[in-house]
Amino acid sequence: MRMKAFLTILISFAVALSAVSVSAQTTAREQFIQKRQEAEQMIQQKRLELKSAIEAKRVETRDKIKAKREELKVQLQKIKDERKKQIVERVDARIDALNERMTGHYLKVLEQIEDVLGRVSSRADKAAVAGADVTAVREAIAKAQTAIASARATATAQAGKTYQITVTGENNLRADVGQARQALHADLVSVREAVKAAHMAVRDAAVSLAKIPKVNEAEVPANGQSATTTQSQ
Amino acid sequence: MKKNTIFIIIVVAAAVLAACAIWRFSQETVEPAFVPSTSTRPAATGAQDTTTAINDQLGEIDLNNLDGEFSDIDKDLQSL
Repeated sequence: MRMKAFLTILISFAVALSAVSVSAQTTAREQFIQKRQEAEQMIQQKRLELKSAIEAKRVETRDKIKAKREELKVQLQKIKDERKKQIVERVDARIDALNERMTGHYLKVLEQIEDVLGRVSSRADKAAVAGADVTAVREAIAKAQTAIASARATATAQAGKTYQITVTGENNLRADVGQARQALHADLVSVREAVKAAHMAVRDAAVSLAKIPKVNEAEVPANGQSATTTQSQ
Repeated sequence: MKKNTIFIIIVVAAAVLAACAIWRFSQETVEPAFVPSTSTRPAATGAQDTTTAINDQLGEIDLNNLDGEFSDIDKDLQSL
């Protein structure tokens, strides 16, 4: 009788142990999946909003550019050399085109930087599920997110800027046009520095992540195919 | 030993083995499962989120040579 009771308890214990382990793994995995999904959705939502905001700004900027070109034509009436007039108009157009191209480029770079940060975050989540201390990484990720948001605001504001050439005289044309060129250059340097800061912040987060022992071995356990199917739908 | 006891021992051993197997296979990775179909971005999964891959991805990001972008404008300025 004692033997039977002992064996019954042992069986119950074994069954309970397996049930608890499966349950704990499922909860951790579900939390991980949910967190990643929420983060993905938030990023996608923000990008859609940003695209709309930039598109609206570009429409507004095109109107401003049209008006300033008319203004430049009026100013160029005092210049007699037709070749110089054409060059000034061409530089004016090039300044606007370069601003649009470079701000577009920096916004794209910021998306790439944000994607990498998403991977740092994904790996940190896996490490956390595996029981690692990811406090430092989380702090670095938060700083990087702030840096990306700041750089994005700078680049978006830059996308709405225009550069007016003020013609003071035929002999001053190079200096007059040069001022607009310098202003654009200085502004684009500011945007580039903000993007660089975001890049460095993500690198810091990656360095912080790499300090976690065996971080690349941390994985989220699977429990059957049902959750997988839900994910990929 | 009675037949019953032997049978129960076998059942217990099987139950323990099953528990171990469940525990072991629950540690398997499910990387493809984390690819949301709505996302247009590369998935943050598997080899893509190892520290080596992350460093490579960061190194591939190109900020462009800003001064080189002004070369056409500067040429025009010289001819004014």
